[in-house]
Amino acid sequence: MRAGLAISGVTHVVLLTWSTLVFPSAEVFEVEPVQSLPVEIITPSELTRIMAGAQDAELPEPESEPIAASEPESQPQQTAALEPEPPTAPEAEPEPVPEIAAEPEPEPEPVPVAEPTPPEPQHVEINRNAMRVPTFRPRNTPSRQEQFDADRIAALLDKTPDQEQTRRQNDTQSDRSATRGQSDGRDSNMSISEIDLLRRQISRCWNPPIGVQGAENLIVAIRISLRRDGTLSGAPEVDGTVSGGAERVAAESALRAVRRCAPYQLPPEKYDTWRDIRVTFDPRQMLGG
Amino acid sequence: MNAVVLAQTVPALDLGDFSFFNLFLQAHIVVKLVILGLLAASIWSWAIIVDKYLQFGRARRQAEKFERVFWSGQSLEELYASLSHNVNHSMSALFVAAMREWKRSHEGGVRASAGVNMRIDKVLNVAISREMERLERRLLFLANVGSIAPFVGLFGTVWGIMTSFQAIAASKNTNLAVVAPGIAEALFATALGLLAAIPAVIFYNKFTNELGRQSNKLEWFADEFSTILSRQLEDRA
Repeated sequence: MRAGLAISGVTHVVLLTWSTLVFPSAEVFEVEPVQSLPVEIITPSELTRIMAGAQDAELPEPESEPIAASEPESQPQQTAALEPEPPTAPEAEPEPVPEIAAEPEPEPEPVPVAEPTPPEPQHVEINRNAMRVPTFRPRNTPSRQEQFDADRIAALLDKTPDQEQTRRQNDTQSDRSATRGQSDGRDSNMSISEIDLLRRQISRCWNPPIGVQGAENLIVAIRISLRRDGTLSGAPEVDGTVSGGAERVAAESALRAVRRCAPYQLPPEKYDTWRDIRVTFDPRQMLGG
Repeated sequence: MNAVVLAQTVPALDLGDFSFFNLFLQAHIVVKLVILGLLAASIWSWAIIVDKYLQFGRARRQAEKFERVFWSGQSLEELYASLSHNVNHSMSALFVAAMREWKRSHEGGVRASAGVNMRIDKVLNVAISREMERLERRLLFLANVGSIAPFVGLFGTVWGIMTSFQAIAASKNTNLAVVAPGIAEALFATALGLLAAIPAVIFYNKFTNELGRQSNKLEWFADEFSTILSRQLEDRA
């Protein structure tokens, strides 16, 4: 037994020292810093507003125009200077040809075209070049300009087709125009979540007419007028006509529910939209959901 | 931004500190006790394993040697004379015990063959059970370690995770750097428990198997030897 104990003890000591030597060499994870993505949290109402605004938002005029106008490049000027020249010397000698060919060096196009042609068509060719240059340039420069537009980096990185990109542009545009409407507290419509909020508050107090025959078909619309603090400013009324006993019972229960839950908590900045509101009491929706 | 703030609030951890020894030092006292207990259990069970391994090997070899000598046609009296003073292993112990009883019965010149036969059988049985007791001593410890060490390790782990969660709750910070050391330290206890339990279970099974084989051998030998002796008795009668 003593031999066994000695062997076992020695092996354990050896293993433990070995493990203390080996274990620290466990590789430290090389964690690459995660590229941070800016995330904006928007409420459902904001989302609906963005979506809605995208339909009729006015697009800004294309950016290419002002850039083309402000472009301070020397070449268009040169070509512009050349442009008046051809009309002054319509049947001119071949002398101006090498001059023109030499001047626009960065442009590879005119050089090969210019050489083998006879003098007459030469001028037509030059004219066309002169015409082409200003229209050709601006198309390049806006794309360069776009790269520095910090707001649309995401759109630039995204290689999805143009349609997607324009839709996104529309979104950002509509967002801007939508916030314009928000500042004066006259946001045009309640979002679905806000209507739901009201409906949820009412349905808490609602005792639907379960006992009545065909209760799930008794849909009642109630018109409610509210004050800014959420209390009822007047008695709620049934919207539409009430016929028959069962329908009357349903309408009464709905009116009772509206009165009982009276101070409603709704976003006060949208008071205009819920000052006078019509709520539909549909037993199927309110009970099932 | 957040990551920067967290990195400043959390004390800089030296990642080289996760050796077994440092994990042990950082642990809670209960976890420390569990780890020490498991370490002791592991050392003791390995001591038993080594001891039993040697013992079983020796017993098997000696039994084979004895059987060779026994069936070689040597006279039983001579064999008894050579073995009676150094009884060191199981089968010869059986032989010596039976022979002693046989000789004692004949010294008085009594001729009660049935009684002698019964006595020899009893002596053989006693010798077998003594031998078996000697062989299976301490094996139960291996079984205990095999079944209990994982639970003990788990207890240490649960305790360690409990304390580390308390630490997380106190620091109000769920950063992995806060959680990781406590959990690593806690898992260390389970690792040790398994480390102690796995060899214990393996060798316990191996040794019980071996024990069964040895006991069968002893019983066969005892039966054969008692038949030989009873035949001798009848011949003499």
